[in-house]
Amino acid sequence: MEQYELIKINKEDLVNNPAPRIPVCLCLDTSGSMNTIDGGDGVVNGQIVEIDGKKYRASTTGVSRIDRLNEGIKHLFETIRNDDSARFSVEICMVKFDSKAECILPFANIERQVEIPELVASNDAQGNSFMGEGVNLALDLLEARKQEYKDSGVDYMQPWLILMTDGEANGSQIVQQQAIERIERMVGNKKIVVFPIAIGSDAGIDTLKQFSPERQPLKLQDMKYNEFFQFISNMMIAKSNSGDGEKVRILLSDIKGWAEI
Amino acid sequence: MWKAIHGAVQGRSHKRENIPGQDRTYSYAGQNVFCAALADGAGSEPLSHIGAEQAVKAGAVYLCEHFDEFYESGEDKEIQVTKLIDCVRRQLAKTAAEHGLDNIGELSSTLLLAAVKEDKLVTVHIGDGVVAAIVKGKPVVLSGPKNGEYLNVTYFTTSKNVMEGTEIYCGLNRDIEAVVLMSDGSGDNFYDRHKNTLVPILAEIVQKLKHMQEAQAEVQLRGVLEYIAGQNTQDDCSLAVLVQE
Repeated sequence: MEQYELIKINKEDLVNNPAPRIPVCLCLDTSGSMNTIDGGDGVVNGQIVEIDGKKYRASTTGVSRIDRLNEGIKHLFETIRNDDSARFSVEICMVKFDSKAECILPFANIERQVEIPELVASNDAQGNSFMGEGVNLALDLLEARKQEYKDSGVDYMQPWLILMTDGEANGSQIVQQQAIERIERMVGNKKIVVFPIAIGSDAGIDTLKQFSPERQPLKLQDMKYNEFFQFISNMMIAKSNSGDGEKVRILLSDIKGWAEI
Repeated sequence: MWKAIHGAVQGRSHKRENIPGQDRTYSYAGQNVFCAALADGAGSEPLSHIGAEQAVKAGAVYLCEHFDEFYESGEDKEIQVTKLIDCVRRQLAKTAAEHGLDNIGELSSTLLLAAVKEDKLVTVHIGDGVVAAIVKGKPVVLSGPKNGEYLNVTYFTTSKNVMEGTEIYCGLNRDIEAVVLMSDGSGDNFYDRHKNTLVPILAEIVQKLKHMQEAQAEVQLRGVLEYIAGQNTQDDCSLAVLVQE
């Protein structure tokens, strides 16, 4: 109990409203090009391989984009788990897309998500990136989660969609257009916050822009995934703490050194 | 005779990030009207505390000067509120120009006003937060938060659809002992979102503040706000109380 000279309040005198939830879907490209070595001491073995329609020199060692993505996602989960507010508010699900779209981690309280699935890049030489299908699935999952919140009387904030790719979308054109139109409607009605992230120089920036009518895609520099995920977890923590603000603003100074717009 | 007691404290999240608190409160008396005002700057706008400061001042002065028009407006209350919002926006535009800002959106805030004249009460509530009254020793909700679907999305003085998120109350204050305006941070401690009710301690706090000298009441209110800011919220906390002496 806290004592004041003239006015006394006990903790029990106050309301403890349940923490509002922030549903976040990570929608991640796992096409073959995510096997590209982007760091470490890669040793070229002389072979030429074709992935996603592009030719690469094969390497026997080094750190691939998918390795760094896995590392960054682990970092994100750890950071959120270690924050007293965010761990009750932020709920994450994961969708991967290559030649199909699949939910690999359904929504749950973050403390129940003990095992975070390891992403594996596809070996499909066609290099399919069914981004439209992935985004549609992500939006379906976010809608379903919101309905669960409504049904159980839990307050919630605008959902977040984090879309990360290193290539071009090449799934069904019809599905892709549906996904773009859904996003346009939702962003226009302030029903979603989208973070489009481009990995590497071959990422289809124009396509990413279509999936994010208001926010320019962020281009990750030098494969700084951990910096990105630290930034995104900081924003989630800030959002879970503030409980207000209809916009999530990114300042250029916030991303200096690890990304550009 | 009515008196106003008001105050705001910085929330834990803003302290951590070294960002100014965005809640502002104010009181004004003129034309035989007593007015209390509270505004919570938009979290997404770094300079919204400046907008909140301007909104409480412009809003309170306008409501005092136009109290009778509000009270007697009958079905035309929206016209009166539109005029009030226009007045606030003009002040924000002036402030935006002084600070070299592109638009008044950077000065967005909620705005809660309560004014009494003799036995009449007018409240105007834009956005989230709660307008409460103490009636026969019990706190009751006069108007609750306007959030729409998402708890983090609300209406501001600068919102295009501001009227959708505005509630006006005009009535006799004969049974009302006090009116309490609170920001959403204070609401996290005093207001049950699902039951739309307030905790009884609120009436006790107001009752004690009522019997204190102004300076003492301000200090004690600050103590209350510092305490609740450390409890069930990370947000800034503010209260503006208009109480019958």
